[in-house]
Amino acid sequence: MKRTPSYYLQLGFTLLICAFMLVPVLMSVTAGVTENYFKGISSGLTLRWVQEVLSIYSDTLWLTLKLALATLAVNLLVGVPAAYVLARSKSRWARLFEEILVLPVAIPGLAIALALIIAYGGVQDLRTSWLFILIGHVIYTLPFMVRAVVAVLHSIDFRQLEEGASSLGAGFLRRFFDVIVPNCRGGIVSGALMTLTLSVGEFNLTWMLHTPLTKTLPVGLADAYASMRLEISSAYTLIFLVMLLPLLLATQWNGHRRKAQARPAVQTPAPVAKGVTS
Amino acid sequence: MKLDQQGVSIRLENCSKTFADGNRALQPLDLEIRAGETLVLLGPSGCGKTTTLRMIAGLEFPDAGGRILFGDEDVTRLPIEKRQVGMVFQSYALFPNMSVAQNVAYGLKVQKCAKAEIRQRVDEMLQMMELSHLAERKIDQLSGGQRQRVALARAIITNPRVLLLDEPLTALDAILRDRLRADIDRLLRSLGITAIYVTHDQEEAMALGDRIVVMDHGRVAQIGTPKQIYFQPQSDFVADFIGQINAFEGEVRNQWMTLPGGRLHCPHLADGEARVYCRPEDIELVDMDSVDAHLQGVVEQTQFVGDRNRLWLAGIMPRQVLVESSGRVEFAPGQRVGIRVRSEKMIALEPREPIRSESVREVSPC
Ligand SMILES: Nc1ncnc2c1ncn2[C@@H]1O[C@H](COP(=O)(O)OP(=O)(O)O)[C@@H](O)[C@H]1O
Ligand SMILES: [Mg+2]
Repeated sequence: MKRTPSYYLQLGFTLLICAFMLVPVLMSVTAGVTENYFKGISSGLTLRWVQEVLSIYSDTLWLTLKLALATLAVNLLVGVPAAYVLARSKSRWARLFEEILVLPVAIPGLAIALALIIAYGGVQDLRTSWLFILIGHVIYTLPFMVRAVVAVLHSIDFRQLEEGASSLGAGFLRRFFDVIVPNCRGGIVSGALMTLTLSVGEFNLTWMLHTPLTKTLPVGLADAYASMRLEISSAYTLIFLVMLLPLLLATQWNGHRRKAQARPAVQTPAPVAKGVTS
Repeated sequence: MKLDQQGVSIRLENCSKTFADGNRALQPLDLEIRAGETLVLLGPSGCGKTTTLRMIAGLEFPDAGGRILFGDEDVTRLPIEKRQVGMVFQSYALFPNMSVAQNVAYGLKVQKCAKAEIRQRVDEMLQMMELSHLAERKIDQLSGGQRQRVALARAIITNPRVLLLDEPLTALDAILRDRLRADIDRLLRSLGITAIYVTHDQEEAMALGDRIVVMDHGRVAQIGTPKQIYFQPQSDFVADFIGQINAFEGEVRNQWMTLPGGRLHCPHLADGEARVYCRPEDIELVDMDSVDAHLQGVVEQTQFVGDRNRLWLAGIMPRQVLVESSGRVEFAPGQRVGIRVRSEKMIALEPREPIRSESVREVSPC
């Protein structure tokens, strides 16, 4: 096929857009490992800034990880059963509630934070604890977990599977853990990745809820940009990206895996059986 | 393989079912299933077969006043997991997260059998169902017929008190259906288990059932052996539903019924309006000039189906009459033929409702 000038025009345009988006990221990343950003790369590469960030801000890294894992734990414990109850319920209210669950995406994190501060801000012990941020993160991310699991439940005939298990003598808990949970794994995994990604990267809500002693990475990052030299905040950004990258890759991989699973498996011809009794 | 337990007798007493939406799916029903018997619930879609089966399984509960007994034990309020039933669902309900062997083992695992015992019994069961080579396969890597056998294996390995099957063959194509029907028949006979089999296919019902319960609109229309149901239907509905049948209706005077195509000898009927049924294979074709050719018609359509010819005759009744004859005789459309119906082959039904327009079911090929 002969490539027309319009093809090269489009290609050029696409590359330009990519460059426009990628260059700042690359600049920021290189800034984080450059001896002196204003002199440029020629001043030499170093991990000094990264080390500096790790010593100044290590508590924000640990808190971010702790928060993300705690949010995930709560979402798994609450979100998966909640999704099951919702999907099982035949009432109109359950359907309406499923719709409402999407709303927090539209409600800014700031609004959630404000509401939390008004409601519980007076409780000093809670206000100064990292648990306060945890509550915010759970409210913010739980709907994503529930949605992901509900979607899978609606796509499999889980009632029938459960009836199958109960006909074999399995009580409720057994059915839930042997049949429901494993068959929702795809939804649970994508809900979990979503939870981790959102929690690690969340800024608005966390910024409102944090105290000097409960700063997460994004909040610390904003702080660094305001008060530290550019190389340090850039190194900080680099660390942030390194934390998020595996999550983004895992999300991508999970999406591919689920698409592949959704495709009907190739049927191998059945060997002809001569009878069932022998 | 014989099961340790031969199954129980089951009794339904006064079991009706009204769903939450107010839909009365079952009228009060009394039913007795003998130990070791295969009972088939047969009827058109929506007549309440599945509801009855699910009530016996413990997936639905009868309205107040109904009782379900397994042997002497009242299980009316017992949920399915406590009833020790085996169930084969229409869509099989196999667990996609488990392999074939794990699916079959699941019931034993729930019963907390020892690992070694589970392995041995699963191996035996897989071998018996000719599934051994598929043991490690996932469910989505199986064909329909294989899934069906896995579902059966999974249901019977726990020695259930009763085996419940809800249209287990409906999802399969015709050839496979015939083969598996024979397999299931052999399996049920060899196990000697009490089994309840739901189907809307009358051939399947005839082939498998010790007794058949024909259901219509949430009621039992007739209970009997396949032969009784086929040869002595007690209502128009049963006569229509089971196989193909011709209806002759007219005025009887001095043992003869007058029809558009001649007369029909009915020595067993009193004078007055009457209706008799006759199976297509019970109608004899006779020469036009024979003394027996009291009824005459014109061949409208023929269909050669190998072992027999199917002829649709016009002019005998307002609707076509279906006759089946040996496949070796040739008939051409337009040909005039005489027929004879021996009175002992006739099915007379009393009391009668007005004849329904669809009373000659499936007879017309158009
Ligand atoms: N869960 C339910 N809620 C309301 N109506 C139902 C329910 N299940 C079945 N029915 C109704 O009960 C009747 C009998 O259904 P079913 O037993 O499934 O019939 P069959 O198995 O003979 O086709 C149908 O009219 C059906 O619509
Ligand atoms: Mg049904």
